[in-house]
Amino acid sequence: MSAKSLSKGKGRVKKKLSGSKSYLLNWSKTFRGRLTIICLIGLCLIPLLTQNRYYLGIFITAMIFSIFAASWDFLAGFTGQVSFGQAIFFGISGYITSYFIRYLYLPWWASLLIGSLVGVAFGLLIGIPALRLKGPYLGLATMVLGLIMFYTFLNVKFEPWLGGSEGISKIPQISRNAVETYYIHLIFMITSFLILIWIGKSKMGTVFKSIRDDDIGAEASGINLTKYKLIAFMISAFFAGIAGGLFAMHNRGVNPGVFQPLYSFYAIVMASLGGIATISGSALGSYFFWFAAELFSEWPDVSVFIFAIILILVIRFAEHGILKPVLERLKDIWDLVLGK
Amino acid sequence: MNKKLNYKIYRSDENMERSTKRILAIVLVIAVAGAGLGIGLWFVFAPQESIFETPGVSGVSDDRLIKIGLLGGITEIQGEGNYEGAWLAAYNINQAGGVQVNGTTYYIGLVAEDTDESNPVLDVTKGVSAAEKIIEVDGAEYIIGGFRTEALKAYVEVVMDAKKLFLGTGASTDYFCGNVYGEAYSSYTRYKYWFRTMPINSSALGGSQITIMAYLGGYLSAVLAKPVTKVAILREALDWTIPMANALNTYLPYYGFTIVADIQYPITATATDFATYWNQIEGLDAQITIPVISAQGGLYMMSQYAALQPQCLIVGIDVQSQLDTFWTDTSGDCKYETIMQSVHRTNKSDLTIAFWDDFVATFDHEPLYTAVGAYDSVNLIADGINATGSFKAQRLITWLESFTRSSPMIGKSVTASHIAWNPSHDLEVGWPFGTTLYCQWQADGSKHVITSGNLLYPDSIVTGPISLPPWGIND
Amino acid sequence: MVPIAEVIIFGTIEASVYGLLALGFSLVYGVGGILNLSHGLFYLLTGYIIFWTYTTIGIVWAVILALIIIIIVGGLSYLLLIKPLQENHVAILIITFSLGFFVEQFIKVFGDAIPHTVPSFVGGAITILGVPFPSQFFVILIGSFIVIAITGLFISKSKIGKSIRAISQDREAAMLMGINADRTLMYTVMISAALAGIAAVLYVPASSIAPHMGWDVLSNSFAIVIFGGLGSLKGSVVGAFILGYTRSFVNYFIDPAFSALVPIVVIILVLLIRPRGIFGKKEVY
Repeated sequence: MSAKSLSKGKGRVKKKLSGSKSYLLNWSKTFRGRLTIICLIGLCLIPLLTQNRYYLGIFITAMIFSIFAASWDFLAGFTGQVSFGQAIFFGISGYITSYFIRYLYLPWWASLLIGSLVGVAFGLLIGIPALRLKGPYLGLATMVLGLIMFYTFLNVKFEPWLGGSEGISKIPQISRNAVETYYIHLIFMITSFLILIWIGKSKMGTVFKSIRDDDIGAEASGINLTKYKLIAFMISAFFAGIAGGLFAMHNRGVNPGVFQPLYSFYAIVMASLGGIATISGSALGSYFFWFAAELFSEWPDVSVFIFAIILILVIRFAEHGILKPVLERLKDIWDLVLGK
Repeated sequence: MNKKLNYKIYRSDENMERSTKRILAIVLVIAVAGAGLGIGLWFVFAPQESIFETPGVSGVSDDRLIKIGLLGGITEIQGEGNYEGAWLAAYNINQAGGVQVNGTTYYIGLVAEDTDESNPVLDVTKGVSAAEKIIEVDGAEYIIGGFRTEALKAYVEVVMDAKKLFLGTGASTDYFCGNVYGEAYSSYTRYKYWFRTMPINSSALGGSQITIMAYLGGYLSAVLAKPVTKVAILREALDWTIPMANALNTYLPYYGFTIVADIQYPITATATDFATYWNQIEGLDAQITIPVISAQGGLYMMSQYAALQPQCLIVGIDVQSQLDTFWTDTSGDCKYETIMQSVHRTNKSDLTIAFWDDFVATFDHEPLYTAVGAYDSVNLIADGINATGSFKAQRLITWLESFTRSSPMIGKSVTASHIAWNPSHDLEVGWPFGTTLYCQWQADGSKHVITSGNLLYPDSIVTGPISLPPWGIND
Repeated sequence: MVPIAEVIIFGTIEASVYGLLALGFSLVYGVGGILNLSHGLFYLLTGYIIFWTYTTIGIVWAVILALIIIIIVGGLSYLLLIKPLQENHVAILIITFSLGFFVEQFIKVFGDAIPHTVPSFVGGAITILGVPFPSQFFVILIGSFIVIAITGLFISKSKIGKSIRAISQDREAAMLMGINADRTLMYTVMISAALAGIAAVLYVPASSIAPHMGWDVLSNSFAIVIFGGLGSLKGSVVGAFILGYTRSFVNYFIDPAFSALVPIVVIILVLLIRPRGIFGKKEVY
């Protein structure tokens, strides 16, 4: 490569970097950007308020499920493939991560990476048959594949190899120090969100959206559907895998329950509470979900009951999620305060 | 001109409206921010009023409490039993004047958190979060509870991290005691805080089953004047049934039995599935069927048994059948079923009948095994604190460990006259230590403790004879 | 030969219940293009209403009352929740899911979580082809065949049935012909609720109800309907039979431990070979 082209390449990189810099600068000046930054600073400061394991635990759970819900939102919101079996990737990574920590004594981050990569492999594996299926058929197929994983891992006959109905336990937490654990999860959440949003804004994101809106048209204009659909499945599986591995460590182990449709529905509910195809809406939905669950935990009889009512009302009156209407209202009020 | 004036008024109106709105918005923002901050601060710093319930006494300050946390699925039978048993024990202790420690009177305070572990669709985060809350926020010093192995495996680690004494009242698997001593990956220093007070472990349940089978085989052969040797096992396809099934498959042949079927059914099995299981069992001429069931399968098993009338006797584990409501839930179809039950209204120890009547009078239903375990556990904690004069977990552990098979605790428990723990902090078993009773549903809706031929427990505590189904037993 | 007779008899019994449940689910998809995830609640709620009332008003009135209530619930769930969100498929999935969730929690709060049953209409057992089974199963068999037959007749002959068919085949054209699509969909949801309710009336006395069972009903109906082909009534019935026979075949000839696993593996395999299910129409998607 000639020096000229190298410098040209360097220049392009520089330009791109400065471009993204100015983009970030502009973004941070918008209302949305400012609010996001305030929220992030708020999250960073939480451990100053409390070092209580329980309170931090709620945040940690919410962060884990933020990543999980965002991974579903990426697949459904950007590429239009509604999966009812997101728990497959969540669960398999939980199992692999736990296995490597418990039996091969690998450090947690290496196990988590391996777990998520196995999740990617499952994404590919499930993405291939899913290519032939659309809409409700894809939904059912992924749900049934999740059930197959569930019953396979639960099956007594496979107990010697897969751990049986009680799974793998005694997984240590990431750190005995709750604050440290909190910040590690926070970093994972922010990084995952940045990457997912960045992919959404990149060229690949545009391709995904064109597939979502009109796959026949996209194919006609020369987009390789197979390639991009599989890539979307794999990216989504990777982040679901990260969430699954973190989930296993936070709960000190895994059992076949991680493959239950319950967790897939958690992801769907949280992402849609926040708003589909927004990624950051998933975080809002997840925090809302876990705070509500803990707020009502004083009355275990009625807590989930109340939550079901809230869920129905939210979806009924804000079908595109609460993120956008909330942001708009907040902006209106803020503008008024500033006297704009 | 008129028009102009109008416009001006309109303009100023609009301005007025805008500024009013602005003021309102500022007030709103400040109010919301203030409220948010206030709630946040209150949550973190507020000296909360005591969340501990003190049955039998009122107005006890927090520093005079023995703080006991109850973990379980509060809305379902096992967790409810755990709570009721602990409540009754706390009530009795507090009414009788509390616990004396170094000249100061302390009372039992209870707090319960929901782990939602009996939910068939299990979410383990509920258990972990409940355990963190009960220790870190509520401030419980001693934990009682636990039932579902998968959920307990997760949150037992939280309790061990916090180094709090944990008395298990619901899980029968060997795993948790194996953590303390004797199994791979066991670690005494980490898991020594765990003790089991109920039920006896699953291997011992297997041993009891083999013993009662040995007795019943001889008894039935004599009564029916034909050899009774053919046995079927009907069990949930879950890990906890494996040790018991292995024990039965290995040892029953030594007692002259043949295992004609070992059916493992998935927990999703339906009523129709149970009809097919009974037809298979009946087709193989089984004379005794051993169920190993903890969930709703027992209901289907009994309703299909009553309808199809296979010619065999049912003797084994069926957790839901321990409840007195099982009779109405099966519309009486559960008659002739014999099940393991840790306590019934009989003189298992000198305290059992008094406890039983007290419990029924208080809660209007019979105690589940977790209730009995929790009742004993609260009493153990109170006795331990009284005896050692200390609230430290380590002192209580040493105290509990001092009760061994050769120097047991006598006359303190409602489940057995003698109580002691082995090195893995599991209950010692075998009369007069931890024993399981065999109870049979009778045609009139009552439940009897049947004889074990003096092998498991003495005939003096038997309350009724063995009834055979009128449709007979296979040849 | 007895095992084969057993597979056929028990498979048929399971299939007839599945068939009733799947039929309504499929009808709703055919007419409205929506997946009603609250389908299980129709079954569950009917069972519980009968359980709560039969001791005071008698079994016959309990059944009538339960069916009336469930049809009203079906209509209301359409008017209040499904209709306003009709254009947004994901929102419908979530709101119907939340509704099912709501009913499950409602039963837990106002009842309890222990499984219950109601007494069978008929006691004892009967024997066919050398296979004994509880008489209530025979009632299920006869009852569901009659109901499925009536539903078939209703769809092909009655006015509402004709609108249902017209809309399933070509929504736009049907609406141009003056058929009120919304009202037809409401009737369809009510019929679907009634069918699930009848399944509960027949099956609960032989089985049991517990709050979480709505999801088993839903996933079974979902699986059968997709397997048979969305919107195809024939497909639902055939799918139900294949599932029923596979289950009892596995129970008898392989191992009961696999009876939950094998049928869903079969479903996936069929779906991979025929992505639209056995009788699915091409234009559905």
